[in-house]
Order: sequence, then structure tokens, then C-alpha cells
Amino acid sequence: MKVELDSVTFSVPSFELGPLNFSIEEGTITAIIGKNGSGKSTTLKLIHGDLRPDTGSIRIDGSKVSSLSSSQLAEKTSFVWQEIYSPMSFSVRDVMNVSGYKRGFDEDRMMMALDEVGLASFIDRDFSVLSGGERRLVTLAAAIYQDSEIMIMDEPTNFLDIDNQILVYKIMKRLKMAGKTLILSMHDLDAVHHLADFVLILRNGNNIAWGRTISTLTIENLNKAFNVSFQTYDTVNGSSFVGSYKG
Amino acid sequence: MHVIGNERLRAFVQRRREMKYAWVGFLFLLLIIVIILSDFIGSVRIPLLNILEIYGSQIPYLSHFVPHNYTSAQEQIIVQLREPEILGGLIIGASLGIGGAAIQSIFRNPISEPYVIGLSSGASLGAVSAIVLGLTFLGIYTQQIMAFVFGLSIVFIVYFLALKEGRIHPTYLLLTGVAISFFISAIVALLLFTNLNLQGEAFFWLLGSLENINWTLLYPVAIVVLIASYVIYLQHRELDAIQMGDMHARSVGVNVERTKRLTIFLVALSVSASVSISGLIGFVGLVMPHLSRMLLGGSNKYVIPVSGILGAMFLICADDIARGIVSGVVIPIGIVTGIIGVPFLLYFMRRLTGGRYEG
Repeated sequence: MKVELDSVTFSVPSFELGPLNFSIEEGTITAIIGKNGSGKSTTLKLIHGDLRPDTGSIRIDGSKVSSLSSSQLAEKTSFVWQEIYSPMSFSVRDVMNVSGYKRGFDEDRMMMALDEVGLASFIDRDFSVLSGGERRLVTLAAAIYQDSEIMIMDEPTNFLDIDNQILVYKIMKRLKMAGKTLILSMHDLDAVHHLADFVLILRNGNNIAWGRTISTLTIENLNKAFNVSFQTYDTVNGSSFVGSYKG
Repeated sequence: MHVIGNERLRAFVQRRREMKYAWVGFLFLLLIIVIILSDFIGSVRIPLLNILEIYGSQIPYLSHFVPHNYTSAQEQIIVQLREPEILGGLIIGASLGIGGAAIQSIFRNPISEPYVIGLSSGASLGAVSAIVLGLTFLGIYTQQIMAFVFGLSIVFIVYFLALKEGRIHPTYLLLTGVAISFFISAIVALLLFTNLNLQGEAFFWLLGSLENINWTLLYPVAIVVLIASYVIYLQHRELDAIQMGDMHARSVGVNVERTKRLTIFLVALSVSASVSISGLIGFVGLVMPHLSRMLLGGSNKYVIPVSGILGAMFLICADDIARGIVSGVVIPIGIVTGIIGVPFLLYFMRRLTGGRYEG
């Protein structure tokens, strides 16, 4: 399913985003990077239809997002939130059940999704007393269980230790191989370099650069997006990556 | 993917689910026992066997096979006095418990209850107006009908005032409900202040009582409450999703605004109907959903029915105390629910929360 943004702008007092013009191809991973407050989460929420653009249009599979019902949208997209919070307690199973709302209950698929993040044995645990990282993994499992064609992820590796970050990257690769389209915001530039097919770089709501990762994730563009200087390094496995900061 | 094949895990999960069903069954059985025992309480003592015979005589086709060893006076006491009051407690307690569970999910706020959307102040205005102005234009049940109509009307006013760009934001709805409730309560206070001689009658209504419930009042209310409660229960998956946030609920495919609109309407209908015949009974709608969550977790699949069962059980017991604690005197049930209910709640909170509210 293709995602197209055409001259999209959005503003709230003291913040303006866009205009954004880009098209995301099916079966690819697109990463949105930028400083805190640069508009990453806002862009994801616009694509997901949670916010309405002031001008321009967002289309998924040719249909305007604003014209899709929540039911149609849930079939096409799922969202991995930074946090699911409620003052009421509920179990991991309850979180998973809610994500199965559209496609219907399927115990085997539910257990497989939880097993993929290593938390199948947590099914009857209280979600609110899990650690931040465990909650993050359950949220990812819930989105996998929802089984939409497009998966939108807002900083999916937040709160995760190195082991689990690598687990999430492996899952992303597996989902891409299965034909899913992944759109995510991330801070780990090294992961973006190795995972993403396309990159959107934002600064203060402005589109600094958009394109294939190999040609877009450059020191020049990163220096424009952040208030730090970047260098490239060689790693033990021979590949170079963008990272480290000075100044 | 080694855990999927783990039969022990599957068996454990299955056991947990069966335990929840067993809990619901146990509480339902306890409710039946409470209903039967409550028929004992009153100034006239009627033996259990006779009570069971009277029950049997009321069941079509079965009545011919049931022995009639009771007197007609005993039958009158059970059928015309105690049964409507006890079943009134059942219906009203269930509607408050279920309404509380649904409203707490919509507001994502564990300290909300059906009354926060203006229902109680509206019903008070209707009932107190009928008492103070001596209105009888709708027959002998003018007070009840006015309480119902005003309760429902004020909820609609609160809902439409809180509507912004076609969406209902929980905090805005809550604040609108509180503001309108203060306004209406001020009018109720003014009506009472200018009619001091009628304060006693109005006061009794404001504290709630099941004493005046009869079959004529109970039948229509029971039908409304049963239908509304069933439809609220059918929304349990949508309410679970909304409990986790409006945006998350939308992202999994829930029509959030339609669910909120329907649920608020059904709760307003059910609870307005209930309080119209009982007066204001607090505490039940706030606390029973908490107890349900402590016992069986946060899924509304269990919270809604168990809140209804616990609400019914609690109100019937509170009414037993209101009727039985002082011989010949019926205390307003609102006093009993507060005095007995609060220590009961504090005890269970310490025993059952398992640290959930301490984070």
C-alpha cells in the first residue's frame, strides 16, 4: 500500500509543519529523524489520520485518509504508540484483545505475536506493572497481532536495552520481508542507516531532506538538522555509519 | 518460537480464564442467596419454606405443583411489600454498578460515576420541583416521571455543551458536567430554601430509599435497565479500547464517538430510570467497578457484569440494614451506603489492589 503526502501543512500556535511532499512505496521502511519537537510524531499522526492537515492531502492506497472510517483505517494501518497509559489496570491479554478488535480473536496469532517479542508467558500479567521496555514490546506485539499493511511506529526502541533493540530491528526486517510498509520515527542514526530504505529529515517542522537513505543520510544534511557536528566511523564489521558528535 | 508449544502455559492460561467464569458464577449464586435471605427481614417473620413456596407459586406452570402452606397475609407481605423493594434494590444497584463501569471507561477516570454527567442534579431538580410545586399533571407518579425526564434532559444539555468539532473530550465533558451540576444544585437549593415546610420530603428523596417501590413503578424501570445494561455489555470491547485512550481505540478500528454517544445515552436512560423511583443513591456507581477490577482485572467483559452483581448485592444488603437496624424505622439508604460502604471499600482496597494504585 502506497502512502502519498501532497503539499501537506499543519500548524498549531508556535509550531508549523511542512509543506511535506513525498511518497512511500509498499514493502519499504521509512525513518523520520530530527530533533525533539521537529515534527516527527506530528507527521506520523497526520499519516495515521489522528490530526488533519491545514492544506494538502494524505492518501493511503489512493484513498484520502480523512475520508476513511476508523474501521477502514485499522485495516490499512496500525500504530505503535510511545506509551499506552490508563489509570485503570488491565492485563497484557486485554491489550492484545483490543488490537484484535478489527480482525477478530485468534489465540494462536496472539500468542505468536507475543512470542516473537519474547513475552508469551506474560499474557496474564498486569500491563501497568511491567517495565517501560516490556510495555513497549507488548505494544509492538499488539501491532503485529493487528496485522495491518502499514505499521506506524513512534520511537519503537525507546526504553529498550541493547538486546531488545536488536530484537526489534530483526522484527522490522522480518515485517518488511513479509511485505509490510513501516514508517517510524527514530533517534538511533546507526539503526536508521542500516534499516531504512528512505529517510525524511525534519528541523523545526521544515523538510530538510527526503530520499533514499544512502543518498539522504549525509553529514551535510545531519549538520543542518541538529546543532552538533557529525563524523563517520568504521565499525568492526567493516561498514561505516553516521554517528558520534563533537562540538 | 519455543513458548507456543508449551502446553503448561496454555493450561495455565485456560485455568485463569475458567477461574474468572467461576468467580462470576459464585457471585451470581451469592446474589441469589442474598435475595432469599433479605425476604426474611422485616417486622413479620416468615419461615424459609413458606417463602420458597410463595416464590414457586409465582412461576407459571410450576405453581400447580407447589404446596400452599402459607397464609394470604404472608403472601401479601412477600409479594407486594418485600419483593418489589428487594428486586428494586437488584435493578437499581445493577444499573448504578454497570453505569459506573461504563462511565469510568469513557472518562478513563476511576473517580467518575454516572452522576458526574449531570444526571443526579437533573433528577433532583425534576423530583424537587414536583414536590415543591405540588405538580400532579402526570398522575400519582409525576415526581418519578419528572425526575426521569429532567435527569435525561440535563445529560443531553451537558453532552451538547461539551461537544467540540463533533468530538467529545473526556476532561471537557467532565468539567461541563460538574459546572452544570453546581448550577442545577443551586436552583434545587433555592427551591428548598423558599419552601422550608417541604424540606423533609425532598430530603428523603435526595438521600434515596427503596421503601416506596411497588410493582407498577418497578416493571417499566426493570425493562429499561435490562435492555440498556445488555446493550452496554455488548460494547465491552469498544470500552476496553477507549479505556486505553481515544487515539489508540481509533487506531484499532473502534468508532470512538459513536461508542461514547451510545454509552452515555444508555447510562443516562438506565440510571435516570433507576433514581426516578429510588432517589439519589451514591457510592455504588463509584465503588463497585473498582471492586470488580480488583477481583477480576480490568476487562469490561467481566467488570460490567460483576459491577452489576456487586452493585445489586450491596444495595440489597444496605436496604436490609436500613429496614432492620432500628425496629419500625426505615433509614434513608444513602446514609447506610456511606456509613457501611466506606470502611468496606477501604478494607478491600488494602487487601486486593496489590500495589496498583501506588505507582
